[in-house]
Amino acid sequence: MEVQTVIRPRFLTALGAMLLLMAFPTPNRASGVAEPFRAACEAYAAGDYAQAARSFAALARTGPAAGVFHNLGNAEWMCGRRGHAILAWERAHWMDPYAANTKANLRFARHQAQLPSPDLAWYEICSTWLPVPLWAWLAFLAFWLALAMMVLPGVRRWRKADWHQGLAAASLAVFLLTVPALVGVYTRSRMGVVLAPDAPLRLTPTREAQVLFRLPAGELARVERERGSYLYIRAANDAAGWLDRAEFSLIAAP
Amino acid sequence: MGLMIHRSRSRAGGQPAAHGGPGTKGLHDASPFRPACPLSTGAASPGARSRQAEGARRLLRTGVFRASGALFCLVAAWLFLSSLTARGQTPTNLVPAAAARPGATQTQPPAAPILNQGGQIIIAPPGASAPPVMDPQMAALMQQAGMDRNVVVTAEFDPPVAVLGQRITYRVVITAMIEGVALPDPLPVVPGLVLTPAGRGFNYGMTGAAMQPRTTMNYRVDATHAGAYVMPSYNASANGRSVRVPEARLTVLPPGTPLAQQPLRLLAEVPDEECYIGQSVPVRLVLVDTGNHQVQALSQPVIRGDAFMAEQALNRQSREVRSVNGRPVQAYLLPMLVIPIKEGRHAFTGQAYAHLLRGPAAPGLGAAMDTVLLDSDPAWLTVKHLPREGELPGFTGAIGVFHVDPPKPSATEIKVGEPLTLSVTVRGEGNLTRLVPPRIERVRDWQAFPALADASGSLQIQLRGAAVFTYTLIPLNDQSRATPAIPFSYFDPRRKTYVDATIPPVPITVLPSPAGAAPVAELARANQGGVDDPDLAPNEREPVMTGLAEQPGTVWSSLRPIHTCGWFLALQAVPAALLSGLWLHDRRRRHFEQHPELVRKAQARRRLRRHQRELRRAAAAQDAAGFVAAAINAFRALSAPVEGANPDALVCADVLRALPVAEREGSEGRLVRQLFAAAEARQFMAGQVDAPSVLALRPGVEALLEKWRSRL
Repeated sequence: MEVQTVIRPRFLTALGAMLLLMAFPTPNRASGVAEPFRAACEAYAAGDYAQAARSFAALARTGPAAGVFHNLGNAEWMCGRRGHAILAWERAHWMDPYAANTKANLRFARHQAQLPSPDLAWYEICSTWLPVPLWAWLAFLAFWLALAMMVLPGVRRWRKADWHQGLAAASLAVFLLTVPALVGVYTRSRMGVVLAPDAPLRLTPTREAQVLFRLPAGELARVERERGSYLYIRAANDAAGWLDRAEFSLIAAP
Repeated sequence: MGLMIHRSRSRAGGQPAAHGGPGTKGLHDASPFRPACPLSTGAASPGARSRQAEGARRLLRTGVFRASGALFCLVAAWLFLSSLTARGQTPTNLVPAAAARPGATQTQPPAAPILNQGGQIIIAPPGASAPPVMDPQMAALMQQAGMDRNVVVTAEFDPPVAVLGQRITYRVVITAMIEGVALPDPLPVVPGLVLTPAGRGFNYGMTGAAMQPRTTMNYRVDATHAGAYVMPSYNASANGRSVRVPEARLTVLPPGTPLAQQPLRLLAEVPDEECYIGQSVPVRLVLVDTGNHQVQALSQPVIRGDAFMAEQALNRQSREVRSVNGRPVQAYLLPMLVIPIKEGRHAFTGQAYAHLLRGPAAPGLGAAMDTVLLDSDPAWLTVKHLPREGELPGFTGAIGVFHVDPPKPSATEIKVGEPLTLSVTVRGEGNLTRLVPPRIERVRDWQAFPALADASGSLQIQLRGAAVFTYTLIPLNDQSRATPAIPFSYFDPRRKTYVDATIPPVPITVLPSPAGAAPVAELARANQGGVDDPDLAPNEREPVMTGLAEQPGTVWSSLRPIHTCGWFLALQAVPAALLSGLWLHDRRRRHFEQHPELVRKAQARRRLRRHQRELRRAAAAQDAAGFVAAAINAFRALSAPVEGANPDALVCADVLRALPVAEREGSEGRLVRQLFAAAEARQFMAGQVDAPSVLALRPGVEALLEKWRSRL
C-alpha cells in the first residue's frame, strides 16, 4: 500500500507533465521577427503601404503569426487589394479568434465591399470559440485522460474513489464537446477567399467554359472538389462553380 | 396645353349645350331607350327617327333620365371610339358624318381656333379653312388614346446657321422610348466638326389623338472653321429596329457676321462662394429668349455631374427681363438645388425642355406647342469638406441657417411609464429636406426612442420652410421635471462656423405611475441603458478599420489544423502504448499472483544460471571450495521451488528430498551428499578439500543440474 501511495502521485505528475509538454509544442514565441516586424510597421506608418505589405508577407511566410497577418491585411487594404486584405485578416482571425481589432477589420472590409458575412454552421461557430490548435490538444488531453482514468485505477490497483469516475466522466464530456468543434475546424479549413476581383466562376474546369457568376474579391467560399488547376467552390447563395486556383486561396493554407 | 371647352347656347331650345360642339345634339338624342346610338345608326329613316326622338324627349323630361341618358351616351361613344382607334382610324374622320346628320343644331362657333394637345384644330373659327371639327368631349376622351408606334427620326443643327465660336447643338429626335434608342458611338465623323455628347431626354408629345414618345439626344458641336457642313445620314436603333437618321446641314459663318435670329440658350447660374459637401446649393437654370421664340415654360430640369446630386427645388418658375446687347429680352428662371458629394472643383451641366409656341401659319389660326431639349454649358463649383475644428455636439449634417422653434410636448402632465411625444420644428434655409434628427444622448430619467424624421415630401418641406421631428420619451421616474435637452448644431456656410441650436428642455410634470407601469419602464432602462436608439447599438455603428497590431504574436509552424497532420495522429500512439503497457504488465502480474510456482521456478532458473557461471569459473580456476559452494547453491536453487523455501535455508536433506527416489538412492544422491559433505568438512572441521577429486565431479554435477533444470 505504501508503494501505491508513492507511485500514484508520481505517475499522475509525470502524465500531466507529459501532456502539458505535448500540448504546446507548435507555437513558438516570435524571436527573430521583432526587428523586421518593427521595420514593416514603420513603412506602414510612413505611408509606404506597398513596401509594408511586402515585408509583412515575407514575415508571414517565414513565421505566420496573428499580428503579422493583421498588419498584412491593413497594408493590403491600403494598397487596394481587397481580396488579399480579407484573406490576411481571416488568417489572423483563424489564429487568434479573440482579436477584436481583426474582427472589426473584417466587419469593416465586408461593409465597404458589400460582401456577405460567412454563413457558418453551428459547429463551425463553436470552433471559433478557441484557437484552432487548442481544440485538437484539448480533445487529445480529454480523451486520453478519460481513458487513463478508466484504466489506471484497475491497472495500478488504486483504491476506488469517486473522483476517478468523476474525472473520467468530465474528460469524456469535454472530449465529446470538442468533437463538433473539431469537425467545424476541419470544414472551416476548407474555406477560402476569392483574391481576384470579378473572378469568373465557370461551369466546367476549363478556361473556355461558360462563366456562371462573377465573384467579388474578398468573398468567402468553400472548396468542395479539386481538378487540375481549378477548384470547385461554393460561395454565398449557393453560387457554385469552377474557379482558377490562382484566384483563390484557402484560409488554412499549409 | 389643356383642352379648351367652348360653352355655347343652342339656337333651338336655348338650353346650354354642355358639350358645346356640333355633335352635341346628336349625343342628346341618344337616350338609353333607343336601340343604338345615333353615331352608329345614321341610316335610320327621318320619320322613324322623329318619332323615336319625340318619345325620348318625353322620357327625358325628368332629370334622372336625362342624366342617365347622357352618361350612357358618353360611355357608348367612348367605347365606340376606342374600338375604332384601336383599328387605326382617327376619330376626326367620324365627325363629319355625325355633324351632317339631318336636324343637327349648329352651335355658335368660337372666335378663335381651339386646339388639342397635339396642336390639332378642334374647333375652327368661322371662315377658316380648317378641317372638320369634332366634339370637345370626344377630344377629351381621345386624350386617353394609345401610343403612336410609328418611329420618326429627325436630326438638325441648332441653329442651322451659326457664327464660328457660337454654341451649336446637333439634335436627334426619335419618336421611341428612351430605353430602346441607341445611336452609333461614335457618330459619323464630319471633318471640321467635333461632336461631344451632351443632354439626353425623353418626353411625350401628341400626334393627333395618340401620344408620341420622343427621345432627344443632344451633341455639343465645335466647328473648327467657317463653311458648310453636312452630317450624313446614318443608321440608329429604335425599339430593336434599325432606323435611318436623316442628314442635317450646318452653315458656319465667319466671326462677326450678324445673324437674323439668335438661338435659345440655357444657362446654369451658380453662386460665387465656395460650398460644402452635403450643402443644398441653390442654382438656377436660365433660358434667355433673345430670338423671340415665344418660350412658354421650362420643364424636366436635370442636373448632370458626377460630383453632384440634384434635388427638385420648390418650382417657383419665374421670368424676368434681362438686357442682352442693350436689348431687353425675356429670361425664364428655374430654381434647382444641387448637393455636392465630392471635394474639389467640379462642373455640372443643366438640361431642360423649353416649351415653345410656334406661330400660326395665318392670322386667326391656332398656334402649336413644341418642346426642345436644351442643355447648358458646364458650371463650376468649388466644394470643400466641412471643417473638423469647432464641430459641436448634435451635428447631424445640417448646413445652412436654422433656428429651432420651442418644442411642443403632447402633454404637460404625464405619469411614469407613459409615452410623451415631443415635436421639434426646425426652420431655416439649407438642406432642410435632408435634415437628420439629432440623437438624444443617454439620459438618466428618460427612456428615449429615436426621433421620427419628417415624413413629408421634399417639396412639402420646402413649401413649409420647416422640418418637424417627433421624439417619443418615457419618464422612468417621477423625479423628472423637464424633458432632456437635445443637442443640435448646424454649420453656417456664410459664417463658416458651427452654430449651437440645442433643443431646450420643456417643463413637464411627471406623476407617480399606476401599478405596473414602473416595472415596465425600469425593465426598459435596464435593457437599453436608458436609450432605445439603435444607432447607439454596437452592431449598428459604422465599422472602421483599426490600426496595426503592436506585436507579431505567437508564431505557428503552419495554419493547417493539427488534427489533420500525420504527426499528430502518430502522437496518439504514445499514450496508447503507455496505457497498453501498463495493462499488459498488470495482467502479467496478476497471472504470477495466481501461479506463484512460476515465479519460484523462474527465480530458480535465474539463480541456477548464476551459480552455473560461478561453478564454471571455480572449476576453471581449480578453486575446489568455490566449486563446491557454487554446486551446493545450484542444488539449493533448484530445490527451492519444490520446497517453497528460501534456497539459502535448505540443507542436504532438503535437496535430496527434491530428487526423485531413484536418483536420491542412486549416483545423483551420492553426488549431492559428497558435495555437501565436502562443504561441511571445510566449514566445520577446517579441513582442506581434495581439489582434484572434487573437481573431478564436475561432469556429474553439470549433468545433474541440466537434468534437474529440465524438470522445472
